[in-house]
Amino acid sequence: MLQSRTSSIASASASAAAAAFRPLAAAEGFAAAAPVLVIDTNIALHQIDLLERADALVNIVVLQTVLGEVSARSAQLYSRLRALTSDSARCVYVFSNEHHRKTYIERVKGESPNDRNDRAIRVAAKWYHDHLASVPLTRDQLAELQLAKAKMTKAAAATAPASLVRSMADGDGKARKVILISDDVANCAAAREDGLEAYGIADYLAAYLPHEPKLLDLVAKPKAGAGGREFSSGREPIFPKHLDESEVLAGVRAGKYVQGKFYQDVRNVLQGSVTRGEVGVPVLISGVVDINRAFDGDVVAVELYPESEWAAESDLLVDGDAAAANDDGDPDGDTLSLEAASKDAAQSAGEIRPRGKVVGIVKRNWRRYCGHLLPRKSDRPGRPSPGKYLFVANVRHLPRIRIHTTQPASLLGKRIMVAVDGWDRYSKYPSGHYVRVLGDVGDKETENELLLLEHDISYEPFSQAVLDCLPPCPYVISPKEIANRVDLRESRVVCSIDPPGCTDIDDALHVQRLANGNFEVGVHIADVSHYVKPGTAIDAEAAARGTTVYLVDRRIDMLPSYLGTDLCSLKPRVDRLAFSVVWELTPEAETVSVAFHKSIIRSVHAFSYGEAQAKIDSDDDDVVARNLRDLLALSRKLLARRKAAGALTLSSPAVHFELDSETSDPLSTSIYELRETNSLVEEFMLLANTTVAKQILGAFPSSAMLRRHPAPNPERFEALITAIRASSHLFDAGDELTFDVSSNRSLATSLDAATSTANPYLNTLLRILTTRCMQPAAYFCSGNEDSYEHFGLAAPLYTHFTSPIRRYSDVIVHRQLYASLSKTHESHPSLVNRNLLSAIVDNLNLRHRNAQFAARSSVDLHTLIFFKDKVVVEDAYVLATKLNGIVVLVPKFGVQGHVTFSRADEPSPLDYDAKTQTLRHPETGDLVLAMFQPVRVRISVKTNANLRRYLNVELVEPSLASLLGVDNDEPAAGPAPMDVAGSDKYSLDDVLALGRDDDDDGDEATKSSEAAKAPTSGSKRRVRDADLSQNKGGAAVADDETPAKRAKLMHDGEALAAASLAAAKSKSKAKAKAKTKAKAKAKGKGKSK
Amino acid sequence: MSRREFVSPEGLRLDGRRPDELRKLQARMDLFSRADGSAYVEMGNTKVVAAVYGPREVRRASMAKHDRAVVRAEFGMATFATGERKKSSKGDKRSAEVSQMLVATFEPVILTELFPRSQIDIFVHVLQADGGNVAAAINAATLALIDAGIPLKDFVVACSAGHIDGANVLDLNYLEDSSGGGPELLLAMLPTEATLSLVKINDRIPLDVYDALVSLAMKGAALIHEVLVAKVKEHAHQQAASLGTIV
Repeated sequence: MLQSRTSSIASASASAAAAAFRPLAAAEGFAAAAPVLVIDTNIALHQIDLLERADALVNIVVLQTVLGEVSARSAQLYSRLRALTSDSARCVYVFSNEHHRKTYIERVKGESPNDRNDRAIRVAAKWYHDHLASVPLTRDQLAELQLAKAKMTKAAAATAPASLVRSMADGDGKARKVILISDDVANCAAAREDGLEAYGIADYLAAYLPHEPKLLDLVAKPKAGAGGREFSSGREPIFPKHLDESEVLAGVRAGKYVQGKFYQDVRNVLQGSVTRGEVGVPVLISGVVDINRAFDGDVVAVELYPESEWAAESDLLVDGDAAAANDDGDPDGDTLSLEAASKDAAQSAGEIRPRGKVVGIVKRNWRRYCGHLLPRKSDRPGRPSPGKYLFVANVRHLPRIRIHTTQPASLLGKRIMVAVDGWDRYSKYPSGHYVRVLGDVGDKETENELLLLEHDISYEPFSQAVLDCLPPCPYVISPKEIANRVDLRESRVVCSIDPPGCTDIDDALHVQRLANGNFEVGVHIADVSHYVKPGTAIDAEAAARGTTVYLVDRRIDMLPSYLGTDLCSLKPRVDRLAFSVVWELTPEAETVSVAFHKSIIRSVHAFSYGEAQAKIDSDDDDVVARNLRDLLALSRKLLARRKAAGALTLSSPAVHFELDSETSDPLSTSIYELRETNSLVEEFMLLANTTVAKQILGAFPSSAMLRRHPAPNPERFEALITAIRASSHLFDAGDELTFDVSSNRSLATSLDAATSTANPYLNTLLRILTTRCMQPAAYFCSGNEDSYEHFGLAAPLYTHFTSPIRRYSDVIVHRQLYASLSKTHESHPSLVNRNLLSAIVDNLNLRHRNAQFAARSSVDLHTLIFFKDKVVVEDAYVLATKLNGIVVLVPKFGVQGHVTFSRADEPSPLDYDAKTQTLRHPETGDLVLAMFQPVRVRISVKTNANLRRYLNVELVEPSLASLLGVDNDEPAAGPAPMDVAGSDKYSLDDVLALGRDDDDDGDEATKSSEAAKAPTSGSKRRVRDADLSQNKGGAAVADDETPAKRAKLMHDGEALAAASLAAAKSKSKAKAKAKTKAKAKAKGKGKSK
Repeated sequence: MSRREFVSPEGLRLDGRRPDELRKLQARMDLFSRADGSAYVEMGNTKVVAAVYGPREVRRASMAKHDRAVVRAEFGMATFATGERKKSSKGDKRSAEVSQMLVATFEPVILTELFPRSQIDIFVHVLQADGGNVAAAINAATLALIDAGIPLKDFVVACSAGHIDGANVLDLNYLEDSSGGGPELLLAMLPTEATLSLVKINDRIPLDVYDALVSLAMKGAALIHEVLVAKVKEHAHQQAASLGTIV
C-alpha cells in the first residue's frame, strides 16, 4: 500500500510536484521559549487529555503517521487531535511526513508495521532536528528564550533538583531543540542512538515544566498491555486474562467466541448482556468476574457456557450504589466482595438464555465521565493527602474509577471529569486520571453543565465565524426578494397559535373560503433556509447541534437567537419570509390540490393556545374568529380521519415544574391542560409534514430526508399483556379485556377500551407502558430503508418540515422542497448525495436522542431539588414487579422509583410469581402486589454510599411490615442497601465542606446574580406536531430499560405535547416574576445607597 | 460515523497529492510490431495499452462507407486488472459503453475522409485499474493513433475530476472514485483550441460545481497534453535517430 502510494505521488507538472513536498511552515511558526516536541502515537492516544488541557505544552508536532494510527483506532480521539492541531495559540502543527521525500520510509524485512511506524516517527523527528539546526533562532527569539530559561530555573529550584532542569535550545543555544516524546522505552532508546533527545511524557514534564506540578495529574498511567505486562505485586488476579486481538479474531472466526456489544443491565449491575448482531438471543453475562471488566457499550468477545449452565436473567434489582455499599470503598483495596464475585444466577422463572463470559475486549467504549471523588476513610476530614482516590461516575451503572491525584483538596466536593486509562486484572477498579473540574457538587450551574457534557451537547456560545454569517441588523427585505416570492401580506389573514410566551414562532396559519365552497388553507413556516445557506459556518454549527435542547430551566439554541427569535420568528404585524404549503380542502377536509411556494407574510396576531380557544368560544364574529372556527372544524375532520386510520394516542408521565423566579428551583409541579386549539395546530402541521414528505420523495427518490416509526415487535408487549391479564379486575371490561397489538388500529382500539371508571388514571398508565414497548421514531434517508411507514401516526410517509428554527432536519427538508419545485433553484450536493445525507441523518438521530436524555436528566435534577428537605406521601401505581422489589410511578410528580424489599443476597419477604408478575404473601399466598395496582409511597431524598443523592421511595400502603408482622423498628420496606449515610462514612455535606477549604466563600452577590440569570430561556417548547419523539418517559424511563431494549424511548403522540408545552409555560412565568423582583431589588438597593 | 478524509486539513489527498494535482503520467509508444501503432500509458497505478490497426480495407463490405473510414474500438479489462479477479469484461455492458465512447471521441478527430472504404480499429486493454481507466484509455489511444501515423485534427487528451466532501479534486484514483461518494466528471479535450469532445458525468451535480469541475479537468487535460506532446517528440526523435536522419 505504502509503496504504491509513493509511486503515485510524483506529479506530471514540475511546479505542482514542488508544491506537493512543501514541508511545514518554517520555524517562525513555533513559540520561541520551548523546544519542539514530536509525539508518538501512544502519547496521542493516551495523553490526549493532557495535550488538550496543558496550555504549557506548546510546539507540538503531530506527524501524519500518528494521525493515521489514531484515526484507525478511534474516530473520536482523532477528531480531538484534529481540534488540537487547529489551535493556533498552542503552536501545534501537522507534518505530512509520509508524503515527504526525506521522511518517507519503507518497511524493511522482518519489521512489524508498528516498528515501522515508530521508525517513521524517529526519522521525522530527526529530520526536524537537522532542519531546524539549519534555521538559527532570531535575536528576539533568543532573548525570549533566555527569559523563559531564567524563569524556569527559578521555579525549578524550588521543586525539582537542578540537574533536571534542561535548556530549551541545543548545545550552543543557537538552534531550537527537538525532543521525541514517547512512553515506549525501546523507542526512546533508539531515538537517543540517533542523536535525538527523547523522554517519557512524565519525565518530560518533570524536567521541562517543573513549575506546573498539577500537569502530572493529567498524565494517564501507561496502560498494561495485553501481553502480560501487568503487575501482580504478588496477588492473585481478580479477573481472568483478556485474550489479545489475534486470539479473539481467530476464536470468533472459528466460532469459538461470539463477538458483540456489551450492554450493562441498568437495573442490576451484576449482569449484562451481549447482543449478536441483529439476530439471535442476547447472551447473558452474570457476575462481575464473567463481565470481566467490560464497560457498557464495549465490543467484546464472549465464550458461551455449555447449555447445562445457561440461565434466565435475574429479576433482582441491584442498584450500582447499593452494590458499592457492600464494598469497603478502600481505594487501595483489591479484593472483591462475595456478592460481587458470585455468579450464581438468582432463581428466576424467566426464559432460559445462553450464558457466557467475556474473554476479550475488541473495542472499548470509554469516554470521559463526570462525577465526584469519594473521600478516604483514612484521611482526617478536611485534610486529604495526595494519593489514590475513588471516583464515582454520574452514570449509575459504572464501576468506581481509581485515580491518583496530588491535589485532593481541590477536587473533593467538586464535580470533576475523569478519563479511564485501563483496568488490569489484579485491580478491582479501573484506573483513570482527572481531566478537569466542573464546579461544586450541588451547584446548579455545575450540575447543568455536567448533564450537558454527559450528553455531549455543545453549549458554548456561538463562535464569531457563526455570528458573522448572520444577516445585518436591522435586516431589510430587499424588493428583489419580495418580487421572487408570493406576497400574502395583504391578501391573506395569517395568524399564529403557540404556547404562551413563545418567542421562536416557526409556524402560522391562514384559511379562506373559496367561491366553490371549499377552503384554502395555508401553513406558513419560517424560512430558515433562506438565512442558513449550505456550506457556511452557521450551517455546519446547526448541523452539528442538530436540535435545540430544552432543559427545565434553560434552552440551548440550535441557531443564534437573532435568527431564532427575531428574523425567522413569524411575529405579528411585521413582514416575515416564509415557506408556505397551501391546500385547497373540501369541507370534509379532503385535499383537492396543493401548492408550495416561498412567500412573504404578515401575521395579524400571535395567539396563545388559551387565547385562541377563548376567541373561538367568544361571541366575536370578526374574520379572525371565523377563520379560527373554520380551521378547528377542518382539524376535527383531519383528526377523525387519522384516528380511523389507526393513529395512536400515547401518554407520558412527565409533569412540569413551576420554577422560583430567583433561584429557578422548582416550587411545585402541575400537569398541563390540553385545549382543542393544541390539536388544531397539530393536525395542520401533520398535514403539512406528510404533504411535504410526498413531494420531496418524488423529487429525491433515493435521498429524501424522511422520518419513520417502525412497527413495534409484538414480543415486546408480551410482559405487558401478561400483566394486564393478571390485573384485569382493575379495569371495567374485567376478564373480557383484550389487548391486541397486531396493528396500530387494533392497538388504538384496545387502548381506548381499557378504561376504568373507578380509576381513570389506569388508562393513562397503560398508554405510558405501551409507549415504552415501542421503538423510537427516527430520521432516515429514503434510499437506505425499505419501509417508510410511521406506525404511531398511521402515516405511510412522514417528515419534519414545520420547525426549522429548532430542528436541523427541517432545514434540510426545506432545501429539498425548494429544490424540488424548480430545476433552476439552488441545489447543493448534500441534497442529492446519499452518503452525505446518511451522515447527517445519523448525527441528527443521535442529537435528538441526546437532547431527550438531557431533558430527562434535567427533570431528574429538578425532581431532586424539589424533594430536597421534603418527605411526601403520595399515590402511586405499580409499573413493574421484581423478585425483591417493585417499580412504581407517582403520577403527581411524574416520578418513577424502585422500592426494594431486601438486598440481593437476602431472601425476599414476598413470593414472586413470574408467570403473572405478582408478589404474594409467602404463607397465605394472598395477592399483595401486582402491576397497575394503586399503592401509597413515601418519597424523600437520601444520600447513599457513593455520596449520590437519590430519590428514596418507600412503600407505605400496603404496609409490608404489618402484613408480614415484621418488627417496625427495621422497616422492611426500606431500601436497606442504599441507606448507608451512616456514622463512619462522610455525609454529602462533609464532602461539600471538604472541598471548600481554600475557597473564599460568602460571595453571595455573585451567586444571586447568577441565579437571576439562570432562567434565560423564556421560551416555549414546542412539541405539537405530535411526532415528537421527545422523551415522554420522564424521570425514569432509563431505569426501565433493559439493556437489550435500550432503543426505545419513542414518542409520537399528542399527549406528549402537554409536558413540553407546560415547561414553556413555567419558563415564561418565571421570567415575568424575575423581572418584577429584579425591579424591586433595584429599588431597594438604590434606597440603601 | 467515521468517514475517510479524502482531503486532509493540510490539503493533501490520500496518496499525497494536492487536490489539483495529477498522478504521475508515463507513456511509451510503439510497443508491438504487429499493430500499426501502439502505446502504453500509466496514470499513477492505472496501466493501459492501446493498439491501432489501419487504415485497412474493411473486413465486411457491408460496413464500408464510400466517403470515409469506419472507426471501431474495443475496450477491455484484464482479468487481473482489479483487486478481485474478474472474468474478462470485453463483452459486458460497461465495456461496450466505453468502446462506444472511444468511437464517438475519435471518429470526429481522425481525418476519416482521407481513407474511404477502409476501417481503423482501436483496441484498448486495461492492465491495472486504479481509477481514471477511461481517461487513460483515451490518452493511450491518442498515442497509438499517432504512432500508427493516422492523421488527426489534434491530440485528444482526457482527464477526470470529482467533487468529494466539498472539494474539487483532479484525476481520481480508485479509492476516491469508489468510496468518495461524490460525482465524477470525465472530459476529453482537443487541446489546441480547447474544445471538448466528450463530457461524461456519473451523477447529478449542481451547476456551479459542474463549471468548476470542467475547468479543473481542462487544466488537468492541458497538463497531460504537455506530457504527451513531449513524449511524441521524444519518440519521433528516437525514430529519426534510428533511421539515421538526425545525428
